[in-house]
Amino acid sequence: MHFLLMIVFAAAVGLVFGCVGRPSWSERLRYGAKVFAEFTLVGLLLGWLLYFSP
Amino acid sequence: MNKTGAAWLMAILGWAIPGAGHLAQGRWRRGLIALVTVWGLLALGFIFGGRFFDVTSTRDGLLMLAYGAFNIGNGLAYLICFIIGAGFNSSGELVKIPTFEHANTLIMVAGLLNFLLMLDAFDIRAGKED
Repeated sequence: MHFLLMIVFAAAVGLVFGCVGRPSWSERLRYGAKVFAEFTLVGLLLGWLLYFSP
Repeated sequence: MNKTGAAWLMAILGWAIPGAGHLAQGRWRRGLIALVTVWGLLALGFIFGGRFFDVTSTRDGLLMLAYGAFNIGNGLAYLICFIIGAGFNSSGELVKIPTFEHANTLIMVAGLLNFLLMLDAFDIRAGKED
């Protein structure tokens, strides 16, 4: 459930960042997908790092 | 109305109802994406046990003021809930829900994204963006 909510968060941020951050729709789509992937990967990475912290 | 006044009007519209500032300028796709994203996050936040934070009280600590400021981005939804006193449940029951923190984050992010979209609507009307 926590991962699913993180995916929802990343998708929403990717959508809005894509919409306001780039001038054309093809660029928006690419940028939005990039933001989504970055948020998801960083979230997973931080999750694993925190798993090992005491 | 002059250009700056009209731009502010679009920003206020966009703050009140997510995407309204874009829809009023004929930016249908962007407006609908804004509406669905912000209200979708807000709805999910409440479904999963989140709540609004009161921006007028430091009873829950100073950090909660920042949370409240983020929540203000939700526009009329926050204002109406503030007036009727709904959605501010701080009784402690919600904390027991496992997704409480995530849900609060979704509600705060909805507000912050709406601030961004509001500025975008302002920029479009002011002619700073195509």
